[in-house]
Amino acid sequence: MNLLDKYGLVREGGLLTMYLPATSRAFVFRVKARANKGGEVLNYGPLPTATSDTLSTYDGGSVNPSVDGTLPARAYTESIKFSYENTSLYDTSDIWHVPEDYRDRLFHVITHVTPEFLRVGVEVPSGVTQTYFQRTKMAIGVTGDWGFSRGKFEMLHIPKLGVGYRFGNDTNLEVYTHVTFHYAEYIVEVPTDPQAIFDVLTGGIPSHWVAMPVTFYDATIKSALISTYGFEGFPVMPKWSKDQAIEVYNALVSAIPMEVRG
Amino acid sequence: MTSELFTVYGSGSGTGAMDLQSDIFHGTVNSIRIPKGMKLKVWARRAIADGAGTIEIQFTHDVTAGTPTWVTISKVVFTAAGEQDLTLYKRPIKVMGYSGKEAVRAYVSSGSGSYSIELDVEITDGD
Repeated sequence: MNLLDKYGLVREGGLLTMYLPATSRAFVFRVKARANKGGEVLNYGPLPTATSDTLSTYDGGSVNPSVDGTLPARAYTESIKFSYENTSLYDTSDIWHVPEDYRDRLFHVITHVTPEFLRVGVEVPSGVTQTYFQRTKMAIGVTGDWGFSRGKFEMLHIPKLGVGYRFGNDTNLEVYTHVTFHYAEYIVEVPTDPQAIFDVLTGGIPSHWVAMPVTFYDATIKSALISTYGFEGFPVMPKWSKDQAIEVYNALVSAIPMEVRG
Repeated sequence: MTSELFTVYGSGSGTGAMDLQSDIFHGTVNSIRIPKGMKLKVWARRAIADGAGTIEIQFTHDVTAGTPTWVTISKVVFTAAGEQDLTLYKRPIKVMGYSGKEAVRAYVSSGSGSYSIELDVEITDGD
């Protein structure tokens, strides 16, 4: 059976691997359940731009949206969080932001923006660029010539780590925008069997891999990982280092909080 | 693949680039700029005239130039009022975004009446 459903989300019982390029480490999660099964589509609405916002342009100037929710011609946003006015939420300014004691929950979010030709990128944490060329010689991304997606972005939102989204419009049209999230609120556990972890990380057991857009290991990321999961991830090691990997994984699993121990 | 298909509408008289509008953008534009690496495809053209004249679809390689050079890639000629054009392209008109400065526009010329045009346009990175 395919690991993913029609939205690109992991089915119940499936495995999800969150890979961090900055550290060559990964977390393996088993999806015990999906809290929003059958309700994966969140039609958020327009981008949260306002006429009072001053947006930079690719041509060197700045511009204000003519109406709320548009992205003006040749303009790009700063880091955006998706707010929702419901005071029950942990953080009304960011619907994907929860504290570390939500460690049994993991948001898998596939953001779709229309028009699809809009550029999309993320900052992890919000305000920190993660897209560079030639190590950190040159920042790229939504504001540059490359280093962005168009129309769609897949992201895992872990507790305690705020993520910012950036959008860019390199046409001459001031476009009306709409954001749709296909998301799953997974109820997860972290496997503690070192052999199973090794098999997942070396491809022996099927898992959906999401390479997080993290090439710069900001201290905030490290802090969020440790306070949520108790460690910084399993080092991804080659098949020929199995004995060493098992030993390392065996030592790491003891740090995993009880609520998510698999 | 990224793809956005939308309809633009314009009307005008006399000679000049038509002001285009659409539900996907605010206000009007007199050309559509193509993002670098993407393509603009025209899938359908619907036009009507109330007098003799022509409507041309034109592109330029550099819309940022002081005086862009526009090249006609599609033309409909009306000889009398009430004539209509409905062209559905089996293979669309395709204009590449080589540098990100390319643009497409609809141009009315020699008009003795007023003209309306609708274009079904796609901006895509697919073939």
